[in-house]
Formats: sequence, C-alpha cells, structure tokens
Amino acid sequence: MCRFLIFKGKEPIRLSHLLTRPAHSIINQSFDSRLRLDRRRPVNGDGFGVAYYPQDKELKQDGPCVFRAITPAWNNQNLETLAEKTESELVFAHVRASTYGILSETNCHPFSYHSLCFMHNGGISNFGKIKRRLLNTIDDEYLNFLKGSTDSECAFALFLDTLRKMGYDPARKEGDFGHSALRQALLQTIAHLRDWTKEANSGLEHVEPSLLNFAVTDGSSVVVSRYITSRVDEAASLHFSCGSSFVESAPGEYRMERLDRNQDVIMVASEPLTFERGDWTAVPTNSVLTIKNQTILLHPIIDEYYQADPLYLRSSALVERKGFMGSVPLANAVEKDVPPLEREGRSRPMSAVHQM
Amino acid sequence: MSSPAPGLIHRWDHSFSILSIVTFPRKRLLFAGTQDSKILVFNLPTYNLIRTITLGEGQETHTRSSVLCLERSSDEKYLFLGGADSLVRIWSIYDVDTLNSSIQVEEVATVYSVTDIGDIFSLRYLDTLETLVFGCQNASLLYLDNIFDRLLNISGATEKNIDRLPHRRYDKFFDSLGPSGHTGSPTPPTLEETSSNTIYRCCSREGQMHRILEIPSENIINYAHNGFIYSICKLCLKCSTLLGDGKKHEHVHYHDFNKSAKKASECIISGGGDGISKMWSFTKDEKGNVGVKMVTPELDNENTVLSQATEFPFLYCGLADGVIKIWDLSTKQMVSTLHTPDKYDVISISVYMDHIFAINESGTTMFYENEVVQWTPNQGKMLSSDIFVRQDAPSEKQISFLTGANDGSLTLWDLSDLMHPSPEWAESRTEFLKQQAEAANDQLPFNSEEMLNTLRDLISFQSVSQNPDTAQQLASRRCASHLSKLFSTLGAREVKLLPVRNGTNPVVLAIFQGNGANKKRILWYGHYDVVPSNQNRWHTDPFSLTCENGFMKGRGVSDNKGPLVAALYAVVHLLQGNQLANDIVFLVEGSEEIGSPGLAQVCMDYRELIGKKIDWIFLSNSTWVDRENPCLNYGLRGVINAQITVWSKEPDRHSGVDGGLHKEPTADLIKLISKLQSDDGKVLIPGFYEPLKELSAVDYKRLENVVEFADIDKKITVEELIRNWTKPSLSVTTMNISGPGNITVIPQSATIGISIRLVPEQEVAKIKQSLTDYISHCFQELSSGNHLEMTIVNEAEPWLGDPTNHAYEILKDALTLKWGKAPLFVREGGSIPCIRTLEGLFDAPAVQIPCGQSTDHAHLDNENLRIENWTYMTEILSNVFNTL
Repeated sequence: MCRFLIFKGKEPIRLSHLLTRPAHSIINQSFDSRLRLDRRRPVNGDGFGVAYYPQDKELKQDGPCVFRAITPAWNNQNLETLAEKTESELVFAHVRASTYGILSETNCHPFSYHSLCFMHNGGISNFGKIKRRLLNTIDDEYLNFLKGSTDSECAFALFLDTLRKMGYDPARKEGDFGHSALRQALLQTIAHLRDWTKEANSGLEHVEPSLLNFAVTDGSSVVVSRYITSRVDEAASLHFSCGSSFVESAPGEYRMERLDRNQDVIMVASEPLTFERGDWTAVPTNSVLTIKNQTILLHPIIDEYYQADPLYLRSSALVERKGFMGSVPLANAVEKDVPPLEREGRSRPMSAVHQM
Repeated sequence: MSSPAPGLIHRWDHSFSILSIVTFPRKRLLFAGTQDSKILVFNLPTYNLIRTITLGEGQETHTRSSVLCLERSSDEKYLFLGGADSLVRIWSIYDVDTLNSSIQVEEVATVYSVTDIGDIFSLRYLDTLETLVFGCQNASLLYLDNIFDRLLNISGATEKNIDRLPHRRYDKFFDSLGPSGHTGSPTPPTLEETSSNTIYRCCSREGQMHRILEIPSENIINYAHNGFIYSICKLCLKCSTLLGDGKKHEHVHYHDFNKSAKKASECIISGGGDGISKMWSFTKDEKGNVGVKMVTPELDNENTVLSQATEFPFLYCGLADGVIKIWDLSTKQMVSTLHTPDKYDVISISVYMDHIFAINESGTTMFYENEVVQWTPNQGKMLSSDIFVRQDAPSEKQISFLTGANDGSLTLWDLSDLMHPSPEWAESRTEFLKQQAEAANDQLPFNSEEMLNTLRDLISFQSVSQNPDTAQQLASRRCASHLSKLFSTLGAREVKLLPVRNGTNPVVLAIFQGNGANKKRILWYGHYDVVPSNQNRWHTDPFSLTCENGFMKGRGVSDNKGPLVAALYAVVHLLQGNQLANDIVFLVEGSEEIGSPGLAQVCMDYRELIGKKIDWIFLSNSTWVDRENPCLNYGLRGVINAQITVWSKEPDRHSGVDGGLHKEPTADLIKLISKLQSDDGKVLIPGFYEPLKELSAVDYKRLENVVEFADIDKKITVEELIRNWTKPSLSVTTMNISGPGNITVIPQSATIGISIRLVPEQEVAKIKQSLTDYISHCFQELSSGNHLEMTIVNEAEPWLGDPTNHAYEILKDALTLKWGKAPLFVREGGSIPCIRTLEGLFDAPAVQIPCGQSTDHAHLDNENLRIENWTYMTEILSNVFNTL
C-alpha cells in the first residue's frame, strides 16, 4: 500500500508543513497504527519520494527537483532538513509499500520526465501479462527512459508515449501542455491499461481489479485519477481539500482555513491530513480531478466500470484488504517520531487497534 | 470613472467573515451568514442586530459550519441555508414585528445526501414547485421537490436519518459499513392542502418541529458541471413571458403563483468552476412529480463562473480575473465582456435596472452602459452582496446594496444617487407601491432613512459653544439658520431666529400648529450646540455621522441633536397624516453647554410669539441609567461652578532664591480649600445642609426600584443613589498655577475650581452668598499678603418634577407599550441650567425624557446613540404629543 499527496498553492508552502510536521502527514502515516490494516505489509517502509517545482523560474524549467530514498521516510534526516528549508507552490509526495518491483531508489515515486512528474497509488492487475505489450507499444525514447522495474513507472512511460502520440512533445522544457491535454492523455493511458488487462485476464475466474490512482503534472496543471476496473468495488481512497490557507493550529495539528470560497490552497491526498472531517471531500470513484490554475475540475470516467447511480455503494472490502483505504484521522494524534512498535517486539494495546 | 460614490448607510462588525447575505425586504430584515457558523439577523428600521442564530449543537465542532449560501422563499416565510457541512437547513421565519424588534425563528428541517457532496456553494428555492436546488463541491446538482409535502408526510424517519447526516455517519462511511442503500423515494404527495402554510401553522402551534430529509438518488444530477457549482440563479417567470414586448422591466413584481395549478415549471441557470453556465428547466407534472431537463446549448464562459445574475433577457456572469460576460438568453449569444479595473475574481454580482454591481477584493464596480464607477469601501476582501429595494415612506424608494467582507464587516449602501432613473421607473414604481400597500398590513413605519439624513446634516455643523474659534462661531450660526430652514420645509407654521442680546448663538423658534379642538401647547426645548471634541481620541470623525452596529456616532448624536431630530420627526409624522392635534413649539438654543446665557431674556422678549400659555415643557437631555431599562427623569441637581484664585503681587519666583521669605499663593489656596470640607467629607459652608429634608417614602421606593432593576455596572446601593441624586455635593475639580510648572518655581498665582451640586431644597443664590462669605472669611483668617479672587463660572437651579402628573403618566404608558417594560423613574446628579428658568417663565411643568443609554458618552469621546432608542423615541413622542 502506498500513500500520495499533492499540494498546489497560490503561495508557496514550506515542505515540512506537508511532510514532516503534521501528525497525520504521509510520512507519519507511514507508521501510523491505523494503517496496519494491511496485514501483509504493515508499514509504508519501502522508500519515499518528494518532487517539488522550484520557485525560481529558471530552476523550474525542465521539471521538478526530485528527492527519493529507500530508507523509511520517518528515519531520513536529510528529508527533515530539506523539508524544513524548502518552499514550493507545487509538491508531489509519495510513500511506498512495494507491490511490484524490488526495493530500489529507481522504483520510488514520483517519476519525472523533463517538465512532467507522475506517481501512482495502487497496482495494475496481472501486470506481468501486459508488460510486454506495453513495452512494445511505446517509443524507444520512453522504453529507454525506464530505469526501474515497477508497473507504475511503465504506466508513466505509457502516459508519455500517449501524450507524444497526441501531438505533444513530452520533452518540452516549459511543460504547459494544458489541463485538457494532460487529462486526455491520462484517460487514454487508463483506457489502454484497462483494455489490455481485460484482454489478458479474459477467461480467468478470479481477477483482482486494477487500482489506478494516478497523478500527473506538467508544473502548472495537475490531473489525478481515482479509478478501479470494477463495477462493484471501491477504488483506492482519494480526497481533496481546498481553502484559504493551511495552518498549524497546535503542534502537529493542522487545519484547512476556509475564510472564503477561494481555492488558494488545494490538496489532494490518499487520506486526509487534518482532523476536520468537513475539510475533506472524497473524489468519486472512477473520476478524474483536475487542478487548473487554482480551480478544481471533476470529470467522470464513463466506461463499463462506471456507476450512474450516485447512491450506489461500492464495496470497500478489496481496498481495505489491500490497505488502500484511508480514513479520516481521529483527533488524538499518535506520538511523533515513534517507530512501529512491532519492530521492537511490542504491540499496541487492543483498545488502540480497536479504534480503527 | 468620476461619479458620486454611494452613501454608506450603516456598517456592522462581526468577528468572522460574512460569507452570504439574503434580504427580506418586506419583513425589513437582513440575514448574514458567517464563517463561524452563525446567521446574524438585522432589523432594518432600527439597524439593530436582533437575533443571532447559531448552527449545530452546542460545542460539538462537527456540527459547526461556514454558512456559504442563504436563500428565501418569495413569501419570506422561509430561510434556506447551505453550508460547508454538506447540509441544507430550513428555517421558518414568522411573527416578525419590526417595530418591536421581535422575530420568531424555528429550524424546521435539515436536508442531506448520503453521497459526499462537499461544500454547498449555491442554493435556490423554486416557489411554484416547492423545490430546493443546490450546487455542490463535488460538481453535482441536487434538488428536493415538494419539500413541504415531504415534511408533512414523513414521520419517524427522522431518527433513522439522523445517523446518516454527514457528521454522524463519519465512521460508518469511511469504514464502509455504512448505509445499505437508500430508502425508496417518499410516497408522492396526496394531501390536498399542502405547502408552507400548513408547516407554518404547525410551527406556530407546536413550537417545535424538526425533520431530516434525505435527497433521493434520482434527484442527484452527478457531474452537472465539471467543477464546483458556485452559483445558481433563477430566471424570473414573469420576465420571460414579457420577452416579446421589447421593454425594460424593473424587477419589482413578486412571483405570484397559483399553488393549486397542476402544472408548473421554472428555470434556473447554474454556473461552475468549469466555466460553463447551464440552463435547467424544472417541470411539475399533473401528479406533482418534478422533473428536470437541461436546456441546450450550454454557455461557455471560458473561465471559472463564480457568480451570476439575471435580468431578463440577460445573464450576467461574474468570472475569475475581473471578467464579466453578458449573455442574451433568448438567443444564447454572448453580447458583451466587461472588465473590472482590477483583475480580481468577481465573487458576487447583482443587477438592477441594467446597472451591474460586481464585487471583488478591490471593491465594488458599477457598470451602466458606458459608465464605470468603482468605489472601495473600508472593508477587507468582499465576499457577498445583495441588492434590494427599500420603501420607507410612500414617496421614497431606496435602492440599497448590502456587502459582506472577510473582516466580518457588513455594510449597507444607498445606491439611489448612482442609479439612472428611466421612464419605466416611475411606471413600475406604481405597481410596486400597490404591491407594497397590499403586503403591508400596518401603517408605514417612520422613515429612519430621512431622519438619518437630517441628523447627518446637523452633525456636520461644528456648533461648539465652549470657547469657540471663529470657524465654530460661524458654524453655530449656520447650524441655526439650517435648522430654521429645516423647520420651514417640514411644515412649521412660524419659524424665527431669535437673537440673544449678549451676542451668543441665536435661539431657533419654530411652531407647528395642531388642528385639535381644545388643543394644548407643548414646548420642546433642545439645543444645537455641542461640547468640543478631541479628534484624535475618536475612532470616527466626530462631525460626520457614522452608523455602525446599530449605533449612530458623532458629536451631538446623544446631546442633543439626535433627540431633537427624534422630536421633530415625531411631529412631522403626525403632520403628514394631518393628525397633529396639539401645538408644538420648538425652542432650540445654541448655548446650553455654557449655561444658557441670555435664554431667559429671549423667552421674555418673545413671550408673545412663543405663546402666552404653555401647557408642558418637554426636553430630552440625559440618558438612561443603564443600557437596558427605559427611564423617565424627574429630578436634577443644581450646580454652582466656581473658581477660587489666590495671587501675589510678586512675579513667579525661584524656591532656592526666594523660598521661605513669603507666604505663597499655592499654600494659601490649599489651606483655603481644606476649609471647605471636614475630614469625613462634610461640606463646611455655613447653612449648606440646613434646608435638607428626608427623602419621602415614595421617592425611596423609586430609587429602590432603580437599584433592583437597572443594570448598573458597579454594585450601587440605594444609599449611594440617594447621595448621588438627592443630596448636595462639593467637588474640587481643577487646579492651575501660573509659571512654567517647574518644580522649583513658586507660582505667582494659583487657581482651584470647585463644582457644587445642589438639591431642590437649597437655593442657588443663598448657597452662593454663603460660599463667597465663607471663603472671604477664611482667607482673612490667613492674613497673608496675597489676594483672593472668586468667580462663579456658571450656576443652575436644581429641579424636581412631579412624576405623577398627567404627562409622566402618559409617557409611562407610551414607553411601556413600546419597550415592553415599565420605565424606571430616575433622578440625576447632573444639571440642566435652563429647566427651572423655563418652568418659571412659562409657568408650566417640565418633563424630561432620556433618549439614549448610559453608554452614550455624551460630552466624551465617541459619543453615540443606539438607533433603536432613537426611532422608538420618535414613535413614543408621536404618540404622546397627540394624547396629551
């Protein structure tokens, strides 16, 4: 299971306000007991990555600064320092629990290609069966771009190839492809993966659906999908929140301040970062969220997995089992800077677990 | 861009953002939704905050929510609210009595959806369909049709539903153990007598009724837009049927509709973050089912639509970056694009008779044809606005504009001067008036707006009478002549400026003639002069009337220009209805603050004109004893203000060089002053206490009443009140010396001021004589080589009225009727110089009616008067003037 977080603001934010300080930041989430629903992989300890677009116009060209490491995020001193001393208006962050591919820096998200940046929360069903087809489809340029071994990176290569085939040059230093081109390319990428896995899985009885929560940006627009190749199951969780500013109300506790209707701060995250239930809205399953300037757009992904009835209740059993279901944090934060108890041969009291 | 800015009528302050506004023009109420989960209810005639409705249950933060949108039903019986908590709440507003500032508010229903819709940004109520439509953060449009039938039909479902409310279903939802599907849609309405009226009666009868309604699945339009749905506006049905005649129509007609009609349809236009404006048609079929259909084509604004307004046939879209697009709805064509001077998002837009008012963070911009007027109110970032027509007097119509901002300020503007009247204006007004007349059951209220304007003019004169400079002297004279003109304009039969012999400010005399048989003649005494003010210590300009939070601020609003205007309009109101029974004589002087020199002489000189027989003398020259309890004043203390100076023939000297050689004036003076009071505070002036009588039992009871009911800050006892109001006192008030004030300098002269307050048993002349003799005597005893000088600065006779006389009885009844509680009968420690003079001269009893509250700050910085007190005073006086 993985977690990702996207920040886009009118004003830059210090990375520590997103990554290290909030009690429920994705870094802290990576050892939070509540996420240990996933029995197989108890913690998001398989590395992390942060991509941020620098403030300086010249530095911003040709993509973000990416910092990735295979150490558990809570143990990385460099990350602490970096987060404390860096500001950005557009940040992608990811913590990883490997589902596919080995533990290596090249397998850590986010991935970047010139101005573009990409990350994935979920997994492509039976990826092994479509990998060859994917690699055959894409241009050499993008095949050679692949350095790691994950389904996610391949999905990014496919995205790049799709964008290229739509008539855009993904290597453009300035980025700025426009929100609709990015959305189009992402939807096409999803469509390819959907169709190919469907084909490859035909005849199989019990196939797990693909969980395709992708996030992509060119440095100005952001497109994020929440998608599952199933009519009945819930996709991996995805929430958004927007407001005037993201403020620390007490040490480690943040809230989205909403003084007016402006979306000066937009966050999209696998699970809410603050304790205010009302601050966060779920992105509907099988839809795509776009951040255009400082405005959020929502588009449905209408295909065979779409449910027209707004009240249709998808089952969250699958994503819960796989650990892709985030919850709203409860008001009592867990202690910071505490490694998972299991590592030290201890366990949390049942009451704490029960709260989950 | 040079055009008059609109007039600021009033400003209220709240500590959190004002996010939404809705006006109930006929009920004369304003509602403002705040970021801190409140609805503030203001009363228009008095500008008073009459109610604060707090959402949610107590301290539970999950039930708090920013109030993002407000809406009313056309009949103004219901208030709808949409918030950041994904809930729509419905309130019933009834038993509104604007004159008494009372209003009943009942939360009747909460509407929710089991989908995660996020914030509710826009909300409209379609009266003919009894359908509520709202637009949400998750880009969906939801509606609930036949609301009132649903409310009546469901029973018992509430308890089940309450656990599905977004803040309560919290755990279930996220653990996905949540609601197993939805209950089917409620059964179609069968009741013959549906509708709001029934609910309304239920509420008033049972007092409590609250329902929780769920939006059924088929009433959710998913992805109605691809962005947040920021605005929904209604298309006026009547307007659209008039489409053919090519005329402009002032949007003043009410949406009258036939509730029994089997079929009906209404149109809305939604606008969203995706830049699209979409028209939707809602239709009710014979069975009462409401369906919705999108009307093609959609209108692409190419930029986030934050606000919309319609004035048929046009749709005005307020977009991001200061762009406004105007669409012709009959052809679905874009007609024009406007830009605000600063490129900020147009957060709210209102249109009235082709005048477009756009709100963004740089201020308000008005567009009319080729004219662009921008004005920047002294507010933070503006967030909400509404335009409405106010009708206070039959002849007057005011176009008002209300704006709310993120600094919690809410301001009310008068746009009348900014608007361009058109021929249709007059025509449509007739229709409007007719409807107004039909709508209003009671008589038209006092025109507080006109009163405010009159007072605004008066306050602007710096009519300072204490040590005036030339400018102030001239201002006082101008004020007097302005007043006389005003009296004439308002219908006084006789108006005259009476010169005062000693050359101080003239007295304004105005006589309003009554038409009653056996009429009485009432003299209203007031003054137009004011005390000086230190501009630096005022929060607002003391000489321009500022209206904030239900209060007027400015020098003279409480003392005495405000009460004067109240009395004047009490008369005008009667006069306009041709109902003034008694003669009212206004005697308004310009030297009250310096002790009314020459007033007595003027009264004698013009006795003929003023009237041989005066029945009552009225004045309003003090305040209540607290903030809550109306008061009637029947006693004032008298005063002697004196200065005592001891001086030496020698100049200022040095204590090192000359100290010890002489008897010094300062020491002499201090010895002298020390002889005025004994160590336990008893005044030692011979005969000071001799005429004093014990307080009567009735008076004692009255004071007990005051102590019991009045909310006076410090814990005051009856004994203290007796001492303060009914016993004489002596205070040492000022101390001055000659020379530089250096600690080593022996002053050549020293002066101390004393202020003696007297009670009715004492006589000013006697006490004065006794004081002078006593001081001279004591000074002689000192046998110093210095000299004594004593000046009486001013003096006033004490006054004691008869609180049981006819006028006080009538006033007591009128006050009780208006304020809903009996007035306290009070006396006061202060003095009004002329009151006894007038009583003596005209041989008529005086009656003193306090107008403002104890916190008015008369004579101090930031003098103020609550508008409610002021308008009530007008009504009370109007009543009293005719019943005497």
